[in-house]
Amino acid sequence: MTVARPGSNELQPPASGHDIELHNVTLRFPRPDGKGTLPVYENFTLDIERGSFTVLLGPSGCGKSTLLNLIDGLLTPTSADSVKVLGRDVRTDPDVTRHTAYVFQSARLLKWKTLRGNVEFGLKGLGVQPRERWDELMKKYFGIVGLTDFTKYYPHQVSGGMQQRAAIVRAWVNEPQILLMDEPFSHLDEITAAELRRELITLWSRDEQRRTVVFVTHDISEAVQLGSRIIMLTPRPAEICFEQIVDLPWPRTDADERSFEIEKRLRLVFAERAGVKA
Amino acid sequence: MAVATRTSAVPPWLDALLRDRGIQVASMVGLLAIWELFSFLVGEFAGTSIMPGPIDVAPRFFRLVASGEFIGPLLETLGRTGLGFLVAFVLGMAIGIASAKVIVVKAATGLTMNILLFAPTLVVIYLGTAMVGVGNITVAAVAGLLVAPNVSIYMRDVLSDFDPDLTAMADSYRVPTRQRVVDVYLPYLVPSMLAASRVAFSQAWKIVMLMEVFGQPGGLGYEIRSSYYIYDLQRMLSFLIVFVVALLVVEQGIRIAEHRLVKWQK
Ligand SMILES: Nc1ncnc2c1ncn2[C@@H]1O[C@H](COP(=O)(O)OP(=O)(O)O)[C@@H](O)[C@H]1O
Ligand SMILES: [Mg+2]
Repeated sequence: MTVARPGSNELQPPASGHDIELHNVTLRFPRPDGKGTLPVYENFTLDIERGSFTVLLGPSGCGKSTLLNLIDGLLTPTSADSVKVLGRDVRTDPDVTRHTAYVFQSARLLKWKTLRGNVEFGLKGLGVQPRERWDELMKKYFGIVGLTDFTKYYPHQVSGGMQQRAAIVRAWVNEPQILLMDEPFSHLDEITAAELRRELITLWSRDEQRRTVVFVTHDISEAVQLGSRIIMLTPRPAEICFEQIVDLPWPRTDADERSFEIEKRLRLVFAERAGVKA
Repeated sequence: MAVATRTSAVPPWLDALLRDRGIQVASMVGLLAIWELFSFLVGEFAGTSIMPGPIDVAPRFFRLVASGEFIGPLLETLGRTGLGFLVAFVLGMAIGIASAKVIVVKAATGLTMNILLFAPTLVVIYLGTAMVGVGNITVAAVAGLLVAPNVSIYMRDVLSDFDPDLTAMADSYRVPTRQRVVDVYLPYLVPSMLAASRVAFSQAWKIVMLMEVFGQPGGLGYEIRSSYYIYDLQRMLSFLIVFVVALLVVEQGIRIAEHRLVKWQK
């Protein structure tokens, strides 16, 4: 089977200009006690345009991870008009999710493989061709996250931060068009997190390929530091309660007055609208 | 943080083994001392020296080893153990994996496995021998029946512990079934399979010995029984030592395999 290398230039944006289109998505989980269902999304609609860095901000348990799982085809909605990635519906065309890469909240590495082995696991799974390119790709991304000297280590031999970096390499190495990131830095100490945030935003903003990032967080200052568009979700069933375009250059710092203003406003709105529903 | 590499030249698995070995030798010497003391006390208080100590047994044991007389019975017992182990392991793995994957199988086998787990070994041996008669088939059936539950319950629990997040990760990278089996499920299962086989082997070994002591012709157990009948306790204890040593050697072998195969573990 030959797969066009995700991220290659032949990958045109869909006519809509939206790399991700969720239309009227409803998702209800069965409750653990078997009594009824838990509605996480009711007729939820969201379009995400190519090249945007969209941050999903919402209280924990509102369905942020669930949304990324839906986009990556790991979950099937109860009903939906469309769950489209690059113009193709992931339910009928699951192979389109080869163009999405998912960085989970925890590293999810195979502990019996070295960091390099874990990255190769992803490349092999996606069937990335030609194989000769793997070395070059891995070298580049291990270098970017500062793991060049640790590729032969097993996960238990490195710190949690390094494990998460390896997971990031696994996701990015293939240079996919869409990056899904689920609170990827929330388990890390603040210094490491800040460093990785800076690396991420530098990498993304300098990339000519206009990659689309969907970044989940419950941290408002992280959202303001990273996002070109911030979408605030309410508790279940999640609805978009506020949207903010952040038109500031990267890298951003808290010291910058304009981002500070935005952060302040978001905090107010968050307390007001994204609090626990009555 | 990087792992601190030990300065010694021996590989870590061997190093760990040697450190274990030191403690093992020390405890073995302690055990022999207790045995000697016990036999001495029995002699003191009962008046007759009915219980030979290690010093009495040693010459007989070494003669047994030197003459090669132990080889035939040992191989016979080992062969039966292998047979029983194989039946137990295959049956246990199959039931274990099936009951982790299929809820109906778990419901259907759960109680049976528990009953077998707590069944008194000797009763099953007698029943088996009475129903099937003496012979290697009985040995395989009884050992299989008694040991399989341990393997199956253990493997079932190990499989249920499998992290569903890893499955989602593999889904996300669109990993095909073959790669999942080779790169995810097998490496996940191998350490537990080795641990299960270590336990299963020693259990099968003991059951086979019991069956030989209680009626199966040939093997170490038979030698022990016949020594007992002619009241040759030194011979009996010599064979018992052969039994223990062989068991330790096999166990150690599986341990080494574990260390080699599972080098990624802490
Ligand atoms: N597989 C599942 N089965 C049942 N309920 C689930 C499942 N996954 C998530 N949920 C529930 O859906 C809600 C949203 O979960 P999630 O998307 O993980 O929230 P978060 O915004 O914190 O990432 C939570 O209430 C969670 O308990
Ligand atoms: Mg989450």
